[in-house]
Amino acid sequence: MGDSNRLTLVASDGGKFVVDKEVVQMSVLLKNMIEDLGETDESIPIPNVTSPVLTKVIEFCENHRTDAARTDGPNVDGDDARMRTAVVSDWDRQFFDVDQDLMFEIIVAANYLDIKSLVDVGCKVVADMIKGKSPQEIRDLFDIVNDFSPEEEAALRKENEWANDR
Amino acid sequence: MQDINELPPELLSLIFWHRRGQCSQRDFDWLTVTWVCRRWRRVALAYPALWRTIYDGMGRSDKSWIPTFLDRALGAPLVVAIVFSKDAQYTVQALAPHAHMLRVFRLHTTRRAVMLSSYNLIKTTFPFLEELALACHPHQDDPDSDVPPPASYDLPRQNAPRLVDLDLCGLHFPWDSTVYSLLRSFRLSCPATRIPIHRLLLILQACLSLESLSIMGALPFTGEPALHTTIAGPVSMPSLRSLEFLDGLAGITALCDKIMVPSSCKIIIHTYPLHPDLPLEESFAAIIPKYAVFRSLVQQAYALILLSAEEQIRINVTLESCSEPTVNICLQRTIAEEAHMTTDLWEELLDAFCGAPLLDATISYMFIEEFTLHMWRSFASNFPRLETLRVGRQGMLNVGGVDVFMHLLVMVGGDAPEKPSFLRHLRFLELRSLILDERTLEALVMVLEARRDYGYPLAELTLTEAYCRETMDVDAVKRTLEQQVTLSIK
Repeated sequence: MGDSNRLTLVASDGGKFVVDKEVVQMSVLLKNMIEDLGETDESIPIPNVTSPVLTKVIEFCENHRTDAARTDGPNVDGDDARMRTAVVSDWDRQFFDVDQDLMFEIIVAANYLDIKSLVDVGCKVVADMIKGKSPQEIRDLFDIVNDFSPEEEAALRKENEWANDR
Repeated sequence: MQDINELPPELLSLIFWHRRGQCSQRDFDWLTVTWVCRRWRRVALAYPALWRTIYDGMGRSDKSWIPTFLDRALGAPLVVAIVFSKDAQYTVQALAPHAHMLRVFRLHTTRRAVMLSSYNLIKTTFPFLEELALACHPHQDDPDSDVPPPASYDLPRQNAPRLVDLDLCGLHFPWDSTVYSLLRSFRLSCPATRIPIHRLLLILQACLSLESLSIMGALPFTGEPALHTTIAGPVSMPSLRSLEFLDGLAGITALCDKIMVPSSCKIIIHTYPLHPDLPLEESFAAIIPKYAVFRSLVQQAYALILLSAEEQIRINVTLESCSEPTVNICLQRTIAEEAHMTTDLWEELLDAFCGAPLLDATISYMFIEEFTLHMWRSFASNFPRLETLRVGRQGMLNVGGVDVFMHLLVMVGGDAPEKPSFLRHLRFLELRSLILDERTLEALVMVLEARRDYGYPLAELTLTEAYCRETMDVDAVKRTLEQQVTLSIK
């Protein structure tokens, strides 16, 4: 029998990670799986997440293991309290100081594993990157093609007036 | 590999939502996310949380965004604030088809027509409404200001089953309204007519779940004799955590006599003498006996007393006490030259407040005079458990009043520890607006050394907005003080 407080996660590329159950329980998906499986030595496959990404996700969970559990999800009416409480610490900023591909892979993995705090922090870091930038600067930042037609662009100018009318 | 173009819509919209959260309610900078590309726009327009908050304040002339936002909110519960908007009528009308979706509605206006429109607006039912603020503010500088509106208005509870936060200013609902049940927060300010105490008690009796109550300028001037009250015993408010009044003493004390609140409830009272013409000393004499009433409400009193007579004298005394060890007192005096706070009155104030386990004090004063010297001397002996002391005055702390500053220093460390006035528990001292010259520095160091030698060193000295004379080397001053104490400079 292995250590009942630890379990093994297997990334999509076969990488194995032995982690504390307490740490991975920040993931609602894994928490439910652990409860369903009960006491077991079986490894848990994480088919959608590669080893480098899983490494980062585990690093985040270990750092935030003592945080209060955040179980509220995004909803259609918006949750201002959640917006206010999604605080990005210096550690979080350093954590996301990676290339854009890895950053978005972490956010997608966090969403798949249902780790609300990591999703929030990731999205807020991206929101910070957008802050203060013009549409063209945002396109340049993320390599996005402007596919608006000239007519659509003209219609958007009306909204631009809202932003400038203070 | 993953890039932002492949992010699922729920994550992209969450990014937009956080981006919106970085902007103030009146700021539309976040709209740039809808102008980047078709996909981003499609995702943003389909995410109601981005559009459900409407803040219509002063400044904006073009209101065409309001119906657009309301349409894009796609039926999400709405948060709407109309705050002294130029054309609030337009917003209220635009809101009408969506009113049943309101979750929060705040209206501040100086126009009767707007308030009447809002009355019509909220005749419907509000399955989502949690917070409602209706405020009429007559304004002498606004030629169109014409509130208050008629007072005959009500919002029955069955029309707003989830309403927990009600803020009424310049108007009030009927005393027997069913809306009061289930409220957790109720703020009543300056109703068109002051509410008799017995009516107010009936309202409070209906507020079974109230946690926060604020009554400002709503009580009768005379206090209305308690015998008019139809309620036999005091109204118990077991859930109350915060109680705030701004009213005449007679009204407050009459109401305080008739309510029971938990001992942990925080009470803040702003009050003033009934008669502005009352001589100053009589004003004090009138207010001091009332402290006992406030303090009888809770074992460890919380009170803020604002006393003002023709702007000649203003004293804020905050006694914030609770079951926890932190207690704050703030004394702030602004006294015109012809007015005097006498030492006798100060003694009475101390008697009124003495006994509170004061651990944290902030003292601000304006004039250096005999009274201030007396105040320092009596302060320490009345509040010997003081742990934190913050001192400042309007203008520099030690200009024209070095003697007073020296008295302060004596209070915080010059006396021998066996004296009753020695603040043996003092750990944190903040001095605001201090001019540091040779003499001040020497005295300060002497006190710090003395406390250390006595075995009662300060843990931290904070100098806020201190000023070093040109003759002083700032770095040397810092080094000198840091040898004695942990120094914090703001």
